[in-house]
Amino acid sequence: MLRFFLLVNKQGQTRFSRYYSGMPIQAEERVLMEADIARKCLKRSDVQCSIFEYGQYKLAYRRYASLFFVIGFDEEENHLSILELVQAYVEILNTYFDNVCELDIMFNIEKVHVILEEMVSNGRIVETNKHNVLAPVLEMNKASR
Amino acid sequence: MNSRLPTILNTTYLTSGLSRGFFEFVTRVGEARSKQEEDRYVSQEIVSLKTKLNHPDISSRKIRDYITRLIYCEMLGYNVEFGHIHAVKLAQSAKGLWDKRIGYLACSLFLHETHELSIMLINTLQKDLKSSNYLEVCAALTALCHLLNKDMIPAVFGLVEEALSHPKDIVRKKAVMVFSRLFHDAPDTMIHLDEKFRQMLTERDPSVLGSILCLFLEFIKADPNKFKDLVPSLISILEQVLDRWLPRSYDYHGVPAPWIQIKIIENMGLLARDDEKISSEVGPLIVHTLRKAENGVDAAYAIIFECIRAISRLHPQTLSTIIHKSPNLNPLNVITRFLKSNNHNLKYLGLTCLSEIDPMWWIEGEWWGEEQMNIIVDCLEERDDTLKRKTLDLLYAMVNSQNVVVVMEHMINALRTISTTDEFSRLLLVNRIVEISGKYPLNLQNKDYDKAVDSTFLIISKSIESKEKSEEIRQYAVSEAIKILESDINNTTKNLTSWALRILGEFVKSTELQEKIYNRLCDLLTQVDYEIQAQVITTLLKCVSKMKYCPDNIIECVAKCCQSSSGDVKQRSREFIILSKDFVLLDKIIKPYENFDDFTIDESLSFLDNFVENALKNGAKPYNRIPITREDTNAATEIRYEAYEKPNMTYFPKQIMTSLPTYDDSRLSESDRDVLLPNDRSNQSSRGVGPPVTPGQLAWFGVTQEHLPPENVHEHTSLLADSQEPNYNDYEEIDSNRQSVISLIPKMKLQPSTQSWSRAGYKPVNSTESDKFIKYNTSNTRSSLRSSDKVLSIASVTSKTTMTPEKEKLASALFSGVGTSDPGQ
Repeated sequence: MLRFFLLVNKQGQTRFSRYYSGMPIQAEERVLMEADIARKCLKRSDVQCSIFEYGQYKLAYRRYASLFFVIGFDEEENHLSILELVQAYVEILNTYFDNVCELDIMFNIEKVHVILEEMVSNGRIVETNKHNVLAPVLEMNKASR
Repeated sequence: MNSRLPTILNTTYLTSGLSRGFFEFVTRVGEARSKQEEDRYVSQEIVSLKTKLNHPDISSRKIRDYITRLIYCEMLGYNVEFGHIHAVKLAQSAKGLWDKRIGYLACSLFLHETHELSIMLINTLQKDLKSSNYLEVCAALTALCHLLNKDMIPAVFGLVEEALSHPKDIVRKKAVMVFSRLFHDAPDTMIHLDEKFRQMLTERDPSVLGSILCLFLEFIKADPNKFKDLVPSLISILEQVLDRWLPRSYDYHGVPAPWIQIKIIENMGLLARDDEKISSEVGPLIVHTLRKAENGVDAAYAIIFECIRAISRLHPQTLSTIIHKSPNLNPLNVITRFLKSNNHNLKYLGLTCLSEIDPMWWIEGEWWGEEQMNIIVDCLEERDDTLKRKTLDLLYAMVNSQNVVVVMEHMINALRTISTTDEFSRLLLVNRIVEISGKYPLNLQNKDYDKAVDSTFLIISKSIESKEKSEEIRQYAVSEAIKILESDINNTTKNLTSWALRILGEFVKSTELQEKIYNRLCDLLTQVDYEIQAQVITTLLKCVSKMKYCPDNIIECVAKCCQSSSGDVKQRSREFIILSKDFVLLDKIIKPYENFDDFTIDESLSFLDNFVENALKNGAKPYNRIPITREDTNAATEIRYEAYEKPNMTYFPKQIMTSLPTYDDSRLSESDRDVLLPNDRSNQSSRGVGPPVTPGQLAWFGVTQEHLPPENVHEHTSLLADSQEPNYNDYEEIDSNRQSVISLIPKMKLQPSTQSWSRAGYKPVNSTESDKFIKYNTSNTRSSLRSSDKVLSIASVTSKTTMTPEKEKLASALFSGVGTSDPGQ
């Protein structure tokens, strides 16, 4: 199952993070871990594997422009499906925000959370259909107007 | 990031509908240049938010804004506990849908399961679950996935169950996920819902499909047997997905619903484990899915991987049918394709697939061979550490009694290079090494024994986890060592005794050294043979250095050893006697094991150079290596390009080479026909005389002047100008700075008539030639070697090509015994 979902930029600043149950971690440790992960991702070259081990978890990461999308998961999960999840997620964000960029994510952090909630629940991938994921969000937007 | 000025006209600002305050806050924090700056801003913001939130009358919208800022701060690691209650209040009293959703979101993020405030949410949750607006129900259900705890269950259970039949599919989907969470905490409460879930699965509502499959995955993992009847359902769903019956929106990059496919396959694999009937039903479909997925898209690779995982879980009977059907159709061939690709991710995929499959299947179906093995060996040396680690995993999976030594070697190397902060992988590696060595206790030869001992030392000396743990290990090791030594020495093998002695010497602490240990060691001195005696003496030395005090009885015992006939023991005991009196010197010599890796041995003894210089200045005679005196030193040391004259002397069978010439690095001569022995200017000689002892000599003996046209000489010098290191495995080993001794032999020319060398010694010869200490160019050797038919051609001996033979050797060593009847791990 997924343990956490993290967006860090090239300077090591966390732009978005979501942790799933079973990941007992305090705030200070969390910050350190995120910085450490950002460093490790930065060190890797483009040619190297997109998966690497970090303690007891495996990390799958992808870089989009200046942001690293990092997912930490357990050994038994299909790592390629996780990588594809990242891609699907970015595509969905792209559709919603129209050419999403880092700023969009920063200023709409609650929306980003909600979209992720639609896709991943309990650390499992539930929905990847773009339409299904965005429908409730768009509904809510309509209702708020 | 691009910093944009936070102006009102900024498009992002306008479209986001956010307040000015939020915008400014986020921009400032986002653009902060240093941690302190960020710290300052965020702390300021937190303080201001505190006051703002405590105002009695603020609009829902404003609260939402503040709470969002709190979410941000919390994400950056700051404490926002005061905000928790406000989040709860927001979820309760929110007017708009977004406000409610964000309130729940904040609660999910801030509160964990056992938090007191989550109790306050129960009422809100109940209200929302009953709401007529499906979005509110969704919000509540999503929050429940995170916040569900024992107290809440009775209150909300019924409502969630009702939600399973809600008209809206999103609601049903989320309700299923709540149950998946509930399954972990209270599985018994859900038994009656079994029917309901099965019904949902067979309904095949595509949007619920994802979540219901997740749920069943949990169920099946817990108890596969109960759900074997689901197989036909799963099969038909998968078939429909593959036939593209799902709406277009489920396609992802051309692949129909990849995640759903993956889930179904995973489920099927788990159900088919150890069950032949199901395996036979499911097997062909999985292979079919694999075929369909071979269209080169990333998502498809994920499906392929899952298929292979499932295949590895199938019953062996089915598996062998699948594999043997036809070599081209063997589904495992994809693994080879992955391994061969240049993309590291695909290589990683290949390696992972391999490690899933039992090595037994590698041999069957003959899709596996040296080629793949070579690729794996290459991966071992990749710079990409993920690949390296995965290959190590693979090695661990394929270890058997034949290749265990090689595998252990690699693991121990890896242990050395893994950084000390990566506790988890070190632990894993150590566990594996221990497990393997336990399973395959071989009669280790000395070389392997050394490696095994080294690894034990490594494990003990590098601190593992906490100081207490490593202290524990140390103590345990020392006490075990003492136990071994105290038992009857004749019963323990040499290796074990020697290991125990080394452990004792290195790791015992001075506080633990007692009389009886010393006495025991002294007793041992009289009971054991030379090798162990030597080790006992060294151990005593180490103990004494820690104690800084040497009891007399020890000195007596060791003194007895001074009379030993073994040179090693004698030397050590004498050193002991001297060193035991001088503790300062002893300290400098005995280094603890951690510094082992820094040990280098200076073979040229350069540290003694000063000493030698001083001695020479004071009139000592320089060391004359070979007491061959030559009178005439006007040797022609230049290169001579013409061939020498043919030998015209008859061959005297009694010529014996009495001494192999030595050489002096500084007198490197380019000449290819330089003379070693003085008067042999003109001769090349012989055929197999005397005791032909080495292959090199044999080679030389095969050479005569006729074989070597003069022109070749030039070719050879130029050819081999670059390669300085002759790599003749069959010949004596010499370090790279010196020529092979054998290479000098061809240069020896015996002058039959004027020689009178005997075994007894050297005789001074009146020579016209020079040079005693001459070093020969490799070219010469090679030319002579080339002409001999006993020797390999040069091409195979250059340094560049030795890499692949080594790797090939490694590959075949690893490959040996794979897939044999060794019981798996």
